[in-house]
This record gives sequence, C-alpha cells and structure tokens, in this order.
Amino acid sequence: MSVLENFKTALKSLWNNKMRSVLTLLGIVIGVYAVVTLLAAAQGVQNQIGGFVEDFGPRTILVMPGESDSSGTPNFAAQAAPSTLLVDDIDYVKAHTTLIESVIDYAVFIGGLATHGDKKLTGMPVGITPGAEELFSITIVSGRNFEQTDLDKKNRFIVISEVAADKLAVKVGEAMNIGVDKFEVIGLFKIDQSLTISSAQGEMFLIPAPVANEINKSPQVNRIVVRSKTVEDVDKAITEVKEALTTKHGTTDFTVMKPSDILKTVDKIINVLKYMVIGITSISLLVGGIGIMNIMLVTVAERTREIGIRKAVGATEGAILTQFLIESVLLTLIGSLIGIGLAALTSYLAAKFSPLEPAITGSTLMMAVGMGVVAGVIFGLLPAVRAARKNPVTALKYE
Amino acid sequence: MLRLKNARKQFTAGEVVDALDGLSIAIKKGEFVGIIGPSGCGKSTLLYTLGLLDSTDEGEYFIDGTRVDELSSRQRARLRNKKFGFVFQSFNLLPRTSSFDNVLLPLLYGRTANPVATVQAALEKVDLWNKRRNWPNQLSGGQQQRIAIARALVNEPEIILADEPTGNLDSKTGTEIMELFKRIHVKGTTVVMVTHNPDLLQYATRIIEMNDGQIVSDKLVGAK
Repeated sequence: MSVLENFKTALKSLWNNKMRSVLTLLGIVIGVYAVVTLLAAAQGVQNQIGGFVEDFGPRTILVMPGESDSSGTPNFAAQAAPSTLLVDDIDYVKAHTTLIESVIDYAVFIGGLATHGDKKLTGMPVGITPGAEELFSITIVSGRNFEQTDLDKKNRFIVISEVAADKLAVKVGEAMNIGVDKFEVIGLFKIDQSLTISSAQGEMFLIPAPVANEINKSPQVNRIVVRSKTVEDVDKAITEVKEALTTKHGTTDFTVMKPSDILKTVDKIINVLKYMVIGITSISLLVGGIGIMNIMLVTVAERTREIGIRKAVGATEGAILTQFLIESVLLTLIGSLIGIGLAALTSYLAAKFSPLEPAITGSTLMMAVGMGVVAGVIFGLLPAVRAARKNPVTALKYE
Repeated sequence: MLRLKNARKQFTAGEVVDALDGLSIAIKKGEFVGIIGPSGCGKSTLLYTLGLLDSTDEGEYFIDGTRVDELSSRQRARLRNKKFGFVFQSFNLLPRTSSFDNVLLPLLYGRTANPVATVQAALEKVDLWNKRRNWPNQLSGGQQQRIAIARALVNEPEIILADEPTGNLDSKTGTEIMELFKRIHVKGTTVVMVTHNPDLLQYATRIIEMNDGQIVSDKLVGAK
C-alpha cells in the first residue's frame, strides 16, 4: 500500500473516532506546547541578553574591582567594598599598552541621596565620562548630555532618568541635590538596558566623573571601559591591560573581561535551563505517548477483523505494520503541530503584552516535530507489531 | 493446480481436535468443488489452508507444481493477493468504507495499471456499479455479498474460495449469489466452496464430503 493510501486510511480512522483522537492527541499537544513555549521563552531571554551585550560592541573591555574566582565569575562582594581601581590606573594603562584606543572611560559610584525641594529619592548616582554611557545604554530624551568640557571644568551638571525626574518633580534647567552637593539638571534620558550597573527602579543620576571623585574625596573608580583597536586583538588587549594593572598594583585585585564573557556565563545558565525544560516536558510527552499506545492497542483490537480482511486480500505483515505505525505517527504529528501552533500563539501574546520576547527557533520546531514523530513510532510500535502478527483466520472470525 | 499432500493440523481448544488428519487433495483448473461435512469436520480449515491463510503442522502443499508451504509469510501474502479471491459467510467488508474502496482493497496490495477501471469492471460484473459510493450498512445482505464477490474477482484470481457464501442470506438471495458463482465458474475461474447446505451442491462439478479431518467421499458430478 502506498504511503499516500496509508495516510488516507489513517486520517479516515482518526476521523471516524474524532472524540477519541482529540482526547488522545491532548497529551502530545500539552507536552509539545510546554516544550516549545518554555524553550521559546528561554531563547527570548538569551536573545535579549545577547542584545544588551552586542550594544557594547565587540571591542569593549571592562575592568571591575576585585579579582574573579577560578570559574571567571566576578567578585560581587568587591563591588560593594572600596574600589581597588584608581583614577591614575587609567593613565598607567594608557602608557603601558599598545593595543587599546587612547580614550578610556570610567565610572565612579557615589552614595548621596537625591533631593529636590521636599522630595527625596534613593537611587544610583554615578559619575561617568561621556563614553562610559555604554555601560547603561541610555537615550537622551530632553536637554543634553555632558561633554568633555563639562568634565574638564568639573561643572556641577547632572543628567537624570525620566523616572527619577518624575518622582523628584524636577525639570531641565532646575537645580537639585545629591547629598549636600548642588547640581543643575541639564538633560533627561530613558534607560534602554542596564547590564553592568543595576538600578531596579531605573532611578539613575549621572554626573561628570571628576566631580564624583571630588565629592567622594577619593581617586577610586568603580568601572574602567577600555576599547581594543581591533576586534581580533580583544583577547590580547585584555592580557595587556591585566599585565599593566597587575604590575602597578603588585597583585591582581581586579577583573578584566569583555561583555561577551558575561554572555557566556548567562548562556551556560540558560542552556542548563533549556535542558531542564526538555527533561521535564519529556515526562509529559511520555505520559502522552503512553496514552497513544493505549488507544492504538484498543484500535488494533477493535479492528482485528479489518486486519484479517486485509491479510486475506494479500496484505503482508509489513503492510499492516506500516499502516498502524503511520496512524500513530500521524496522531502524534497532528498533536505536535497543534502544540506548536498554540505555543506560537502564546509566544506572540507574551511578546505583545509582557516584556518577554519569546523566540521559536527552527531547531526548537524541528525538535518538537521530531519528538512527536519519535513518540509516535516508539509508542505505536507495540500495537502495530501486534496488528501485523495477528493470525488471519482467527482475525476474520473476531466479533 | 492445487495439490495438498498428507496435511495435518491440530487445534488445542480444551481438547485436541484434528482439523486435518493426513488429508491429501488435488484440485484441477476449472473445477467447481463443493466441500460438505458437519461442523468442526475441518472443511473451513482445508479452505483456508488452500488459500494460504492458514498453515499446516505437517504435509506439503504445491501450487502449479511449486512448493508453497515453506514460503515466507511475505511471499504467501503476495501469492494470496494474485492467486485467490475469498468470499466469506459474513461478507467481511470494511465498515464505513464505500463499495468502491472495498473492492479496491486487494489492488492496494499489488500492482495495477488502472485501478479505477479495474474496480469498475469488477463492480459491473456484479451489477453494483451504481452502489459504488454506498457503505456496507446501506446495502442489503445480498448486495453486500455481491460487493464481496466483486472484491474477490478484482485481481482476476484463478481460484475463488468461498466459505458458506449464502449462510447469512435468505434462500432467494442465496440462489442469486449461487447463480453469480455459476457465471464466474463458466468463464473459467476455479471455485472451491465450503457449505453444509446440500442444496448448493447442485452447482458443483465435484463434491467432497469430509468428516473428522479426512475426506470420506470425493466424486465428480455434472453441474446444473
């Protein structure tokens, strides 16, 4: 019997038992739906993080205080302690490396409370050089950003996030305080992404870095942003920076990394998550598959007479086996497709109404369909073998 | 054409029953063989053995001089498809399947150049081309059996094997079916029919009487 004939027969059989087919499908539908939806969500997160990291550019190198551990994870405790990096490290690095660009940016954290009139707001005041904005990925929405001259003159200018401006009821051109220090608001920005310095509420205040050093009465800096001259030399540049700073400090009390290292760590975590998702949802597919096997066994028993008839008119065991196998594969295939459809719909809705951006990749689709087909073959095999082995004479007399 | 030698077949259903007890038979081309005997005498087993649906415990079976009892199940299925057409007491049509598709069924397991025309020819032989779209449950018993006969004929087999073909039909319809068999036989197809209705034997050219897995009488007669 041709494959087409087999599909026709299988479709007809499923159609003749609509309710049963639908209920049987449900197990596979739910299993595939779960796999695809969760993998899409994980992929979405991975893409988003990849997106932040790409914003940095492939030549960006980041220096953070505190030595990273053997696995390469940065020392988070060192972020809170007094920084091991100093302003003069920047000139030293400039003088003792060859592979990096001459403009080096940096960021200095300060601790004052933001106030405007009677409104007070905690948040994240940071002193930066203009290029260090890369660290935050912001867009100016009104007023202006600082320029090098503001830094040179140590102008007490401040650029703040829209959210913070709202809460403090402050406008461009007005004055506000960070701690006891007075600043003029020269610009507002919105935060696109913030990876390396987090401020959950998005309440951020940016001031010229030299001003921050002045307020802190300390030459400590919290982030140094270096760019290698070429993409190819990023790793060599990292080594150069590391060696220069180690020589100057006499020890490696800092971490030099490229943002893609962060991506690698996140990727690792998400990949573990993905395998977990596949593992857990495989259990539901197993349950669905057992449902398929059960129904196929019932189908084979019900159609014993049909099997006898087919054998009497010349069907080989192989033909009977193929017929029932195709039926179970068709069942799981339809289930997979419905599951994928529902997952696509869910992902679409999630992207529309939540900050998640689920992404269904080709490999996810192939895996979902593959899982369905494999489940159909595995769980359909026993019933199909049973059908093929039936004695035709007994089968013909089956009531 | 068919030659069975010293065939033995035992069934163990509570007690051991000899369905075929060292039975030998040869069937020639063009015969209309009627096999008669009491229930459980082994006549159906003989029919299914001849049609390669059942296998013997012992004995040799030749079709056209070729030994077939040692063939693989696949080869037996191929041979069954080409050589034999079965007609059963309970029609054995696929339910919820049109007459056309029922008759088409044997063609799906072989190779046929023009299946639609072949099915049409078979359905026209039993005068039911107009019922090609009907399901079995929309047909009378006699019509269902005629569809089953069309299915048996569609591959133009050399031998039709019929197991109580009129058993589920009233006598008038039964006679119609027998007349159909007669027409098929006259056109050269060999017919082997099992029955326990002696009235049907008037159509046979050879009557075999069985008991306890053995042939007790075998005679040639003039058919009606």
